[in-house]
Amino acid sequence: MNRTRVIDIIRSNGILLVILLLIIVTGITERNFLTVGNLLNVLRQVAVVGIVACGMTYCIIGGAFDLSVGSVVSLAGVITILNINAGTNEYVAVAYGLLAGVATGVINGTLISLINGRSSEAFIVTYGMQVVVASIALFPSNGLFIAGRVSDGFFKSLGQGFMPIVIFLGIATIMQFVLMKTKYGRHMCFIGSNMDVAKMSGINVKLNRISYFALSGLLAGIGGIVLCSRVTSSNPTAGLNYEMDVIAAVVVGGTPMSGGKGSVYRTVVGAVIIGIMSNALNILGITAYHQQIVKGLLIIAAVAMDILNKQISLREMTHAKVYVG
Amino acid sequence: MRKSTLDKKYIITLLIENAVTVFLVGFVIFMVFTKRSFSTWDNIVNIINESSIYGIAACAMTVVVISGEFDLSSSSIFGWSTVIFVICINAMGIVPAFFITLVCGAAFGALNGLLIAKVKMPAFVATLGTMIAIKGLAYVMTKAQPINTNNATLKAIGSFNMGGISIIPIVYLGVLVLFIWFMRYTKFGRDIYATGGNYEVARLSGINVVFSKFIVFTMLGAAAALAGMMYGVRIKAGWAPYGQDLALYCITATIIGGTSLLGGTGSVGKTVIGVLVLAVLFNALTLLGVSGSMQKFIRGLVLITVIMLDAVVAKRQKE
Amino acid sequence: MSAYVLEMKGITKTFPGVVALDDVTLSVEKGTVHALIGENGAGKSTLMKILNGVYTATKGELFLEGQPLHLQGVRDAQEKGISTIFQEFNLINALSVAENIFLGRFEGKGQIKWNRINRKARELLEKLGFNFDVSKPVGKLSTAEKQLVEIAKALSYDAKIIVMDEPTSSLTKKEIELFFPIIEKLRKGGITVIYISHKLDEIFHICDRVSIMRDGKLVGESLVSEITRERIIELMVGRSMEMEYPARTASPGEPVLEVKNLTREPLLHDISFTLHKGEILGIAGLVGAGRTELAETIFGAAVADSGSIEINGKAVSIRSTMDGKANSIGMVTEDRKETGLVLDMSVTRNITVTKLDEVTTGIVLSKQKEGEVASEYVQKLNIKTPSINQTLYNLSGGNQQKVVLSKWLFSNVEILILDEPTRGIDVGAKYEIYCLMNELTEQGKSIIMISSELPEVLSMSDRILVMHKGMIKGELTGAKMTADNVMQLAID
Repeated sequence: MNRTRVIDIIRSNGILLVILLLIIVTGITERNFLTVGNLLNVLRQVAVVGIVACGMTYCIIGGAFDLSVGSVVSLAGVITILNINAGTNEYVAVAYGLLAGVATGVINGTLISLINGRSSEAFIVTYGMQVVVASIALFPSNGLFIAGRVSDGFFKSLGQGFMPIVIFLGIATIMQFVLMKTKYGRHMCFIGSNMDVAKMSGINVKLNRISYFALSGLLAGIGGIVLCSRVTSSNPTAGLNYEMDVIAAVVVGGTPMSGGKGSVYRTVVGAVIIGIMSNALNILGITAYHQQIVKGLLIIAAVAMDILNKQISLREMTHAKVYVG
Repeated sequence: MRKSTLDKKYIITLLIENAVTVFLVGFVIFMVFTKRSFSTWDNIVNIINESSIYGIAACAMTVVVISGEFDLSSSSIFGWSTVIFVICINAMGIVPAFFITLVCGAAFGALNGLLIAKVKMPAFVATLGTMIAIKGLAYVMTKAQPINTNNATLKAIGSFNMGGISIIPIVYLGVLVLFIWFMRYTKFGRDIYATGGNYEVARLSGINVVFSKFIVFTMLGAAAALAGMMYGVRIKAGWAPYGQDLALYCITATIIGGTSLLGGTGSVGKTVIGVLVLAVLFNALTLLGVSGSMQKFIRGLVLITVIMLDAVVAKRQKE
Repeated sequence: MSAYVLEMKGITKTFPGVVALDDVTLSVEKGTVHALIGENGAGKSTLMKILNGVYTATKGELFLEGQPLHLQGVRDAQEKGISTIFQEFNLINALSVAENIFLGRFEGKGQIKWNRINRKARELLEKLGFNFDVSKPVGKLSTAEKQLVEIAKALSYDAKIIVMDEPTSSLTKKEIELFFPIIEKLRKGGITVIYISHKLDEIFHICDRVSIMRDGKLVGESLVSEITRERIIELMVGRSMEMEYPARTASPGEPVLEVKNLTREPLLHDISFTLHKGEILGIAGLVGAGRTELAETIFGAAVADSGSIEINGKAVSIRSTMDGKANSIGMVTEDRKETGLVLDMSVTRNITVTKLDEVTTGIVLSKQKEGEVASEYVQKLNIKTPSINQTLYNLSGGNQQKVVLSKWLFSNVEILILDEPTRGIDVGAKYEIYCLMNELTEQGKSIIMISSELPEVLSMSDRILVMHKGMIKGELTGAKMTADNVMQLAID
């Protein structure tokens, strides 16, 4: 491996390397950090964020953005628990929760498609939806915590043991496959890279974009239900600020904000790494609020690095050879 | 025949453009007749006092939107400012506290400006990141607890009253006049319009576009800090979550006022209308006994509605 | 002191892989209107971009009034007295006329004195013989008025030289009549105008000298009074016209596409025409005549208000690009970098995107099938690329264009709409694309070709429609297909 290769790798994975360094240092100083038990625990904790982040990855690769996911996490949980408490069949209750997510996504997608919105419009529309959906989640219980009357069964199994991890990795695998290996995924890359080119190539841009938001809503719904199942109750503000963790996972993983590129696996790596980092910071006795500062700066640093990288490679590209015909 | 279709289109565009104003007038009439307490002097004064705090930040948000960007972190700067303001008052008195808070707010804004103007990060990610970080910082400083102050000067300022009008609308008026003047009569203000109107043309005309984008965020940081301090004057306390809905409120008010998200058009003066529309709307909802979460719901809905209207109007004008 | 206000000596400009200007020397006398003429791609715009500071010459020197001139950018050029008025105006629509004129130059300290600025703006416009509200936003002005604002802006810089790039291309006949006296005024005021135009009539009408460019070289210069129209055309086109265009080999058959009364307000009015099997139908007209809009409407990128489209005798409804593709229509857009290709994706991905089903096994995209398809087209169209996985950034314009063509050939469309198919492409690749068009029509496919290059339209079309202001103003066939006839119909 030559020197420029090494520099390239450092350049394009800078944030990940810094966090890895932190993990190694913590691993050396704290004995019970790098144990299988602790790491599995971390994986369980990041599963919900990870599931939601998979959906966000699709949105971002497709050239958009979804700020409403946190609220959907709350709402899907509230709806599912309310239905279960009302004696509805567990499967149906879960389906209702998921439906709420999909519906939110479809509304997001339709509104944004209607105005041919790019990232920034998508951002504001979903920001509005975030507020709307969050307040809907507050209505049934007036914002209070709802204890679930949950017996052992399908719903309860979703959040227990290895199940969240299985769901998370299962979803990630399927989504990575769809992204990389199917027509749908290829169209997503085109739409995210350049909506006009996609349109002029005869791709159904509107419908595809709606589907990214619908998927994002669906996955936020799944995340909310898994979260509820784990604690067998629902908190109408459970998803508050979830979008931050989700976005952090995507950008630290290395999917660029500019769209058209990226991978679900990278997001998995991002989510896990951030989970381990939070865990390490917890062990080191750093408060949640301090961690919030770190997370904010992490998002900024990851995106800034990506942009600076792109500027460098663009400069390299213009110096490269042109093939004349 | 072609002319009549164009005329129809024009009328529809006009209606959509002024949909919010039409709605407001109707709504006010409805309120005046159904709710006695709405049109009392006390309530009107109350609306003015309430809307002035966010109004201060909305002036600067308008300038950011004119430059073609927007900012979410102003919410956190507001909350953070209430905290640092009260801490500094308790430590060294009101005058140093005022300046420290103002400078810190401007510094946070400058950080946003640096990331967006210089590094060329998209505004939504950059301000999302700083929003989280600054809010974390505000929580950390008071261990997440609200803090109070008994400063006598602050109390005196807070109890200033002129026919029911507090000090805050007066400050708002000052800020408003300053911004209107700045945007209309200074070179920097005009450069901001040009930068938002067409970045490339502005750059080719020798305008320092990077500085223009930088300065708008710095001003918003300072204005959010000032608004935070006014809130501090009113409730004599500081806490991180204060002002959470500030950015949402300001962006909505700006768009209602007719400043397009596309940048280059609009004015600070028009945003006053947006601020008033929202203030009247939520005051009325409160009088009608609408719950807090329902109001939140409506707030989100209003933002979505105005952004959709804005986009539709822009599209129609282009045609 | 030199008699020339401007001298450009031995200007050479190379871009990676292309020599855009080859040792061009141009001298312009003070107070004259100097025409610069040449076909698209002849190097006029590159030369002017060197003059206004956008590009720096690879070799050569500039002299302004005998003094060596080094430009740091557009603003610097303006301040030194060289203003350029592009076809795309450098104006900010949201701002007022006065503000646009003095953009970025509010003199004096303290607050801006709008009264003074408005007055000065008014004075500048009055100097040109016009008087309109200077506080109006520029976005609300007509094209002719916008042009006046640009000229006023140049005057406010005390311009010595004003370069005008196709100034009359989007003006109405009436507006053009008002425009010539302005040029006259400028000349009388001692200002030099460099006038870039395709319109020979205008050149003979108002210009003093003419310089003719071809293939990046200056091929002729003369007083307008000492040269004939025919001679200018000869110099512009060179004598290799037959060599540049292959002879048409296919002959048109049955009608394939019938467009009836297509209307899309306010851009297209009542358009009807027929396209035959194996035909190349040329669409000529000025920029803004509605040619691209017509193509977009047929392809489905925009929706018509009324009218019908029939394909092979059957009425079809085309409301989206998906419909267009499903009806076997493909469109090669004017701007391949913005709407034709994703430049940072590979050759393969850009080609296969129109018909991914063809390269899918089950639901999985087959890398092998994709590769085979890409290799096939790279070979067939002679696309010069080191590999099929190369991103498009580093391919030349011609090769990029071949990739766009490949993507529609792969999709196997019957009707291909080509919007400016050879814009920004070198001569060799052009010839290859023309041959390909012949080959496709021989196979029975039909082509609609929109082009602003007259020789191209005249040589490659079987029939020509001329558009003007959103309508088809005339149809030319056989011996009627001449440059004069086309221009007659294209201009008011």
